[in-house]
Amino acid sequence: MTTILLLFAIMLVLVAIGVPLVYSIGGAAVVGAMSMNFTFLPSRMFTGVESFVLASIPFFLLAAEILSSGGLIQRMITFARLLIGHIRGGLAQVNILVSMIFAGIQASCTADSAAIGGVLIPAMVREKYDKDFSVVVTATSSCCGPIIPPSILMVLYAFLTNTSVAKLFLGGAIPGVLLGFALMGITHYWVVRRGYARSRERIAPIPEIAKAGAATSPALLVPLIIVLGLVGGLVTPTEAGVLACVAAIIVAGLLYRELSKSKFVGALKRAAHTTAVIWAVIAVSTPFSELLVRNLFAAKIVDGISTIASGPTGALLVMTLIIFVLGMAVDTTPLLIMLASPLYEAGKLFGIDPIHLGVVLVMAALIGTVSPPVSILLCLNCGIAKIPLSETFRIIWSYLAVMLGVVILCVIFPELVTWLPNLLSG
Amino acid sequence: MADLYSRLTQRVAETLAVILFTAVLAVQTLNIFFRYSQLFAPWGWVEEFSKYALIWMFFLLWHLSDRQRSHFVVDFLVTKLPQGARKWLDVIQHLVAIVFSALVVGSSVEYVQSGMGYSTQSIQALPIGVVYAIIPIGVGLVLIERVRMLVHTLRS
Repeated sequence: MTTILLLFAIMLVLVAIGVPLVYSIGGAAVVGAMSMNFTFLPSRMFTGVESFVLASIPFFLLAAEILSSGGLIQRMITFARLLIGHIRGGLAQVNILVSMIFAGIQASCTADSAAIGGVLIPAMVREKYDKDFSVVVTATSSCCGPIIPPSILMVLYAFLTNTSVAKLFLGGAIPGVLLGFALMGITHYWVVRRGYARSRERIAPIPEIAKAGAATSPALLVPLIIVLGLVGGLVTPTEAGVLACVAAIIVAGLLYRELSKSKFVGALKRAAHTTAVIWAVIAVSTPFSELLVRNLFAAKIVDGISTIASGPTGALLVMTLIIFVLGMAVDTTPLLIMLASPLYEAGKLFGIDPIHLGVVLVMAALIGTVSPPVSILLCLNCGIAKIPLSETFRIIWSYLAVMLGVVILCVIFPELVTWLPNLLSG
Repeated sequence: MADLYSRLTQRVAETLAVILFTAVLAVQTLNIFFRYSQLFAPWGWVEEFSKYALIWMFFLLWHLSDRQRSHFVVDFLVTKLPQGARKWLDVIQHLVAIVFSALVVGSSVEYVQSGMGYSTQSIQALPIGVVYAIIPIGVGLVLIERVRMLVHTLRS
């Protein structure tokens, strides 16, 4: 227990004084490895990133970058505005709908939020929506992204816990859509309460909607290829990512004609850089996690949780709360990298379904990113709208309550997560 | 001189990363095509090549994440501190990164040597030690980067 406390104490102190997570974890691992041969560090760092599942991440990122460079977001916003712009507070609902659709392709909530917020927040402000409302809608709807398949966070969890990527993708589908609808509900409440107007008086002409839909639909093939290929067992996760890239190149380059050579190279560089940031944390977390495993960390978690909760549901609620609270301060990706594996081991001892656990943990971590006081996603969007974070506090609580309500529903009713993967992949 | 080093390392690292990334994309696409078209037998080395090429790409770009300060960081406490205190926390940050990377570089030499006697599973001509060699190269670049950042912070 002393070693575990020491490792966490070093890591937390370094994190608190602003040392990047990669070196906070690495520094703790160095201290933990003092009594061993130091080749432990490079060997575990190498094996940490030597995974074929992990190799899918750069390709998912690349597919999203290619589609973003290829003008997909603007096309989706046009389509969604024509489709539901006539309802009251239509542009706010468009924001959520676009996040739900784009989510499947983007697979990262920060990227999703920055891309959509950059276009839709100024548009909402122009149509007389309050800035705090525009920021909160954009930030919270971005959380749907990494839950609705495909999702890089789910790939990470699958890699860290050796579970099926396909089942995790399917497991996130119903909770992600449920979360999207819940956000639409609370958004409608604020639209009525604040008296926001319609974007357009009447429904758009059907041919106009069909034309915009036809322009958007080829891009939707990209997430479909990933999900269907994996669920059907036709391709490995990496091959699914590669095919998504090929489809993205065809859509953005040949159909939209907006992918130049320089844009493609730019997309390659951005995807490679993001991969390096994520993999650096994975690499240094591997020796750190092994030190935790050697000191029976999972059993200690079980002992700790058992003192305050009993049974799988109670234990999962406690784990959800832990991840949610930590998610307020730590970004979702490193949080999962650090804790998915020990929580998975603890979950097994409590009899929690690993797919259920994975989806719920990802949801809790994401909701943490929009929760004050740190709130990475709110900060990002406040920067776009140029308002202080505190201005969003008037309404963010209602959104958090709704989102946490959906997570608790998923904890209490595991079938919301497990029904679809059990039905489709046995 | 410092600018030349920055430009050179960025240009070389990014060019190699783009070449490796594109190569993996190409061979993976061809292999999927081969498997389903049955025109040719799929290449057995593609999976291993992809893994190692992407690992090389990652280690080559790691130091640029330091330079661009794009690593994950929890800075909400630090940003509330005065400028002087933040400078010294920056120094600590560089020192932690330097100690970590120096230890990894030092110990990885032995690790690379241990792999020179073994080949990779599907590419017999390639000793696994050559693949491991990217660890001291990549983390060595991190070490140099952090020393440069430390000097810059102390001078500022």
